[in-house]
Amino acid sequence: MKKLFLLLLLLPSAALALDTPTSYIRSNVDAVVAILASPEYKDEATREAQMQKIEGIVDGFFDSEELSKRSLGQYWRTFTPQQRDEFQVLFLELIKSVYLKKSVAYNGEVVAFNQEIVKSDTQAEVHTTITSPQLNIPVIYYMLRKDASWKVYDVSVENVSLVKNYRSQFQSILQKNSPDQLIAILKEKTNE
Amino acid sequence: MSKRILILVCVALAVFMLQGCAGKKTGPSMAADASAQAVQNGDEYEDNGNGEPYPDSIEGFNRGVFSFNDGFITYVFSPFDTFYTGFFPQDIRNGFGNFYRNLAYPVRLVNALLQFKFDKMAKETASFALNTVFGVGGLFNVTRNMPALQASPEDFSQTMAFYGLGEGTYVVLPIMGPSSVRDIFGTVADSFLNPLSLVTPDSAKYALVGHDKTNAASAALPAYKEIKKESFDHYTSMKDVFFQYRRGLEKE
Repeated sequence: MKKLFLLLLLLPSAALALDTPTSYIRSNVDAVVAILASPEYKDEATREAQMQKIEGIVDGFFDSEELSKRSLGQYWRTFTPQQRDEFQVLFLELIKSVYLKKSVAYNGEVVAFNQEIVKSDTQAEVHTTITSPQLNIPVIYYMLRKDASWKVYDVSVENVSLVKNYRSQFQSILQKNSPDQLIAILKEKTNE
Repeated sequence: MSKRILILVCVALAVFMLQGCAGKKTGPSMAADASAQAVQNGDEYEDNGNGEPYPDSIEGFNRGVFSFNDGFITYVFSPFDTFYTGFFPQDIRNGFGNFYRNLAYPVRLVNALLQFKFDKMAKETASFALNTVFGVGGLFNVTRNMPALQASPEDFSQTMAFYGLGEGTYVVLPIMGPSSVRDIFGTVADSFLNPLSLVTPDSAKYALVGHDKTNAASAALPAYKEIKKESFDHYTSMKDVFFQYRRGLEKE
């Protein structure tokens, strides 16, 4: 009984120790690649089911609050709590669709894990290269750990950060428009 | 050769002087940005590393050229590209790209030297030798999967940055697309070091340079279309991509 109790105590910490930034990215990327490469979804009719399965993985991959905060920059403060919630959901939807569109173009690319930079207990970067027969593309995942797990709050491709790119666009829009107007534009974009 | 170096020095001096003008020109428009700047400073989420604003003192002109270029890409270059990619399969186009890249080795070498980046000089030289000998004159990039030989390319604009020269304002060039004052001079200076500049007669030289640019633009076209589709403000998005990419190169 005592042993069992000890084991129970140890379990969560063992699980935590396993969850390094690289292992987090690797397991998620591997899961997506496995679905993309699976013969189960070779048929055009199963495309929808395949995309839904990937969406399920991508859903928990990002930290939607950090994504939103950083993409809005100083304007985050001008958003009401409701506007923040609404924005967060829509923006994650957009990032997911961008990701899904990219994975449709999957053509046997291989992901190499080059480097893991742990900046602190709660901040890390994972440097990878996506290799296809034509190109090598450097991709960096920027990660934060809030609770138990690491989450991705920004991705940079060829040195171009996704969050910074959206931030410059949102700022140029918010200079002339209200938060509600931006949310409306976002809604329109995600419904396309 | 010494003549070439003289030209480079002259160009560098010209940029220094232009830098002064550009600096003065941004003066009045700075006031407009000041309010936005003030808000930015106190914010914890704003600065993610390099939060400098992008200089765009001729935005009106740039936006005009940008929409002209977008029209050109959509209605002239895209249809042409369909024909081009139909005629040359992906592998051949990659081969062209590899060949021109390999040929421009002196540009990367000299600029790495000017910045005392000796490790890059070694990597570039080894890549050039291997690709030229084993990659049939550079048509095949045999060193592509050798991580030890990968180096981000150096150009004269980065050399000028290394010696402390600012980038100047953002400039959207007709057909050529996003650039900066410093990049424009850098590109001109680099072209003297490119062996293509030695090709005679001139008509052959321009044909080759034109093909190099066309082939590169063709490779970049899918990314351009993607950015356009995914962006809310296409102009701002492209400007951001340009500055993030260029400033990223300067740091490496």
